[in-house]
Amino acid sequence: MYLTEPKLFDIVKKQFRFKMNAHAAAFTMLVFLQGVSFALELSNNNAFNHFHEMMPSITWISFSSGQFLGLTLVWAFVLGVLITNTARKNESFSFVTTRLSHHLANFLFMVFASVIGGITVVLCGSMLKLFTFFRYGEVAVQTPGLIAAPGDFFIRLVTAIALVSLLFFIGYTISSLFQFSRILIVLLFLGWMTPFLQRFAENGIGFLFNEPSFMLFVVKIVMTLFILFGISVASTNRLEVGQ
Amino acid sequence: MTVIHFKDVTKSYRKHNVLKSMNFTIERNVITGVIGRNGVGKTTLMKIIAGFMEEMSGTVEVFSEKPFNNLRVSANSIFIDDAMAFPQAMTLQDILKECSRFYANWDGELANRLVDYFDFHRNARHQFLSKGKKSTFNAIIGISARCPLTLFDEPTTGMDAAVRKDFYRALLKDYLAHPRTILLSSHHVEEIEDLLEDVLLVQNGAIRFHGAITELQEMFIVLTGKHEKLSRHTVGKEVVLRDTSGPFPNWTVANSFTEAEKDQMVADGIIISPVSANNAYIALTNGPKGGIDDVFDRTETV
Repeated sequence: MYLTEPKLFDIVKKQFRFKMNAHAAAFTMLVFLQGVSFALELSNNNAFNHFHEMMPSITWISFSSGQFLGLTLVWAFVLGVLITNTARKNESFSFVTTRLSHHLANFLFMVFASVIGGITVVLCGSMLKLFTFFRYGEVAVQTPGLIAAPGDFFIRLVTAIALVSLLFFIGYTISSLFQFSRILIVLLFLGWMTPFLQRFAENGIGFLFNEPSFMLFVVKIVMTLFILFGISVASTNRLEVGQ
Repeated sequence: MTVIHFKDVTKSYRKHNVLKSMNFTIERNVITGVIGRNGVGKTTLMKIIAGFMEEMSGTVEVFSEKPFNNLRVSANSIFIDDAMAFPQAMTLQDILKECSRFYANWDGELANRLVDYFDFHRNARHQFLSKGKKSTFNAIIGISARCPLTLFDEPTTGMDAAVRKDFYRALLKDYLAHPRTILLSSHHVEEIEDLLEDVLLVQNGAIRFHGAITELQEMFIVLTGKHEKLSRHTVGKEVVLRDTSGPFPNWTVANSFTEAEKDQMVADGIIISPVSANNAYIALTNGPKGGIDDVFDRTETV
């Protein structure tokens, strides 16, 4: 029987397709979560009544698409943790893979899922606008849409994708480190309480999000993703399977 | 061509040394049975070959490369055991489809026929299969993948007798049509002895015996006769098993008798018979503790 000479890229592609099939339920979950948050947002009457003796009363009803992003970020974090746990890794190893190809396929999967997550978050916002428009007629819109300001829309889209992918990779890295050493995670958690690490985290968040230049923001996020992914690969590349 | 080569390989879990010094070579297209008592390191050995685990020292070569984290070894080998994990969301049909994409030699036709023969529902989920059904399905994958190196780690766990027989038959038939290197670990030597070409007997973290199964059998003979006669003729010989359950005592003895000695025993009314592969295996792995009878029979050891 002849030996096959596999190409890494080829195996990563196959593993990616496998992961798409294996984690199909994650996208159903996303739709469900966004549907629920949509319903909550609509049922939640954020009405603010303003009364004054001399003036006609004003009722202020506001809707926000913030919670779509919030729930999607939670979804991304949890999914990031789940897709690299030991059970998922063993599933990959039921087929052809190395640790690297398993990680690369997960990388592609997370990027794909982040794009889907980011796009749906922004589109949920558009849908909310549409719905309020039909219900209340005239509405004051804080963020202009695709036609009015395509540049803004694009920035919102990329920002949403960047945030979702960041949460994905943070979850993924924590889960990888957890496999590498459980004690390390406990130490990190305890270290979280120390002022040094808190300041470090604050500075890190400031470094990423207080960036006025959009391009630089994207570059910083992408670099952070690669660093996190590098940590995940390096920490689990010697771990054994199926113990 | 050499497929697997182990030189002074060791492996330990924390302080427990599982593999102490493994040295062996397995040639291409040979079916080798990996046998040994529980916990001697058969699974560890096979997982090192599959590249799931890493040796601590020594050299492991599979297809002339170190298997750990090796894509070429992964693509050309498959490791089947009862703990194979598949995603919860996937049906058996989905799993078979994934296999066809990953394994170059995958025979989908054969897989489908086997799935039908063993009465699997294609839309069933792997995790909800019974233990025996799971093993059967994994075995179907192992046979149909036709990997140049196929590793079965106790593939028949949970299978009933009929399915076990069918599995061995299917494996043999497919092996004859498409020869490949197969490693098969099992406790049931009597079931696999007809299938195997070689046995690799693992004991105390090392290879106790590696060779044809007939050679293993020739290492021992069974003597049947009266107790005092057996005692007289086996002075200075290594008696490994004493079976007293029959009408006459049955002793399994290391085969170090000369022809003249054998003639003498026959003349004295002792029946000499060949040992079964299973008993040879038990005899070889029993060690100095003797059999379970010796645990209860205290007069023997005092």
